[in-house]
Amino acid sequence: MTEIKEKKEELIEKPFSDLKYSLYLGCVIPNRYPMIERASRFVFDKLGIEIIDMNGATCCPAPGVFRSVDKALWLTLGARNLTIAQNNNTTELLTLCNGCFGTLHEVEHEMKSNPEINKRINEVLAEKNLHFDGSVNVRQVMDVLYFDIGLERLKSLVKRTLNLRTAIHYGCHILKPATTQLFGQDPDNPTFFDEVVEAIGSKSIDYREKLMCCGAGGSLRTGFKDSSLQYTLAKLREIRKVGVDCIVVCCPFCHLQFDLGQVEVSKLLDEGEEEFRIPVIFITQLLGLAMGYEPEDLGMIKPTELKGISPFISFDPLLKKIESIPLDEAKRDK
Amino acid sequence: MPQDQKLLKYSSEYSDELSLDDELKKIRSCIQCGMCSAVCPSGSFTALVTRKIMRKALAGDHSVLSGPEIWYCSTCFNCYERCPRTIPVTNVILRLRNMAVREGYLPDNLKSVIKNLANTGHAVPLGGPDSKWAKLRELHKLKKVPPTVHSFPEALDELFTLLDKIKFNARIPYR
Repeated sequence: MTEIKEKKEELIEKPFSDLKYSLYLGCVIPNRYPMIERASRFVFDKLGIEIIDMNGATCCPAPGVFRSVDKALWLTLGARNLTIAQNNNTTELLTLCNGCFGTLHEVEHEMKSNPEINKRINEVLAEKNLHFDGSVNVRQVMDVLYFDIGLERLKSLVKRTLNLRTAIHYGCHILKPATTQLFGQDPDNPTFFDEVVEAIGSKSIDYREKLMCCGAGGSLRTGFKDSSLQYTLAKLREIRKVGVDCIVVCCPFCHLQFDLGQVEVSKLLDEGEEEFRIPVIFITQLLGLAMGYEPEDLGMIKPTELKGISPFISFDPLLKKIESIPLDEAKRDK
Repeated sequence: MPQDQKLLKYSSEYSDELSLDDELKKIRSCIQCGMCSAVCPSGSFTALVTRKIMRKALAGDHSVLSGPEIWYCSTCFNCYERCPRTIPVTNVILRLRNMAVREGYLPDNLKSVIKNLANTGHAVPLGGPDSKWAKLRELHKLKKVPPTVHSFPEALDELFTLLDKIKFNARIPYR
């Protein structure tokens, strides 16, 4: 009897146990922004989503640097990563990054649609007895939230209506090239990210240059950082004009560019211009907060014992505001 | 040989690993309308003029490979989406970069990232189990070393074998 009861409770608490993904971490998330990994694993666990690690995965490889350097390398390592999800017996590969999505989704597309590339890359992989059989679909966290969970079910998860003013940054590779992307929305007028943020109880505040690139991609940050920061500065100035509680992203490289970037753009500011201090959070952090979980469960801490680590912009003003927002249930009780 | 054939011939010399020239051939239909430059954010901040890149590529002008401009693109794909002749402009720029690299024109700052991947499997590596990033992972209640190639030496060997198979280290000597 008790056993059945426990199972029932678990079903209620973990409503999405039919969903299963191989989790592709990439580089920036595990090695520079582990709070994103923490928040995402925590939220997926609470939702009952089954996550299988992709043991031995390498860099996707990054679409900016490595596709620029050598397309053969880009295709080979991308396809190798796809075989890890395949050998996990999963059909869905989940990435939390626009860049990894850009690479892996396009490699998937090339391997499935171009017989010549499929043949030659599989010949290379055969050297290590690997073969990509086309059974893996590359997914991005926004796409999983929007399609696999869906807006109605997202709404039902909200236990704390945050009503935050957020500046959404889509990033590029989740939108373009549109011919190979998932959402079926106009890349000049996408709404899926705004719809998700509104569904989980916050406001998406419109700002000029909302769809502009953050500047990090294409190896621009790596090669010519000051040029890449010009993009970031232009966007930050527009975001400041409308006034928000935080910037919300769905890509760790955009996250880094906005977070560390706010420190780095200091040297590019006009005389007397105020420095930027806008907290940057990842979509799974916003979701976790809306579900009523504590900021520290979602990696929203700033360890004082380590220097020069993420986040570079303090969460404090945001956390202070969230502290003052009661759970919806408590509000109803009043 | 017509001018526009020069770059295509030149590119075919480098297509030993894969036939990747189909995208490059599409620049033949460029009408120099400037749409790609009009929608290019980098154009506002850097010396990148995508329309000129297309013209130089078409003319077989070698300076398109030796100059820094092709590296100012952040690959936002605005030009790719908007080109009225459906030229995959961003992909053409990426292909030109591949050719530039073979010619030895690689921005210095990118070399260390290539080295990182070729040696560790990550473009942005953790820096070992004693690094501040490993400690930060621990503070976030995660495994100190992520379950990527960092935790599996055999995966790193696999990477090295595949890099050898595509002659990466011979072609791109930055390891």
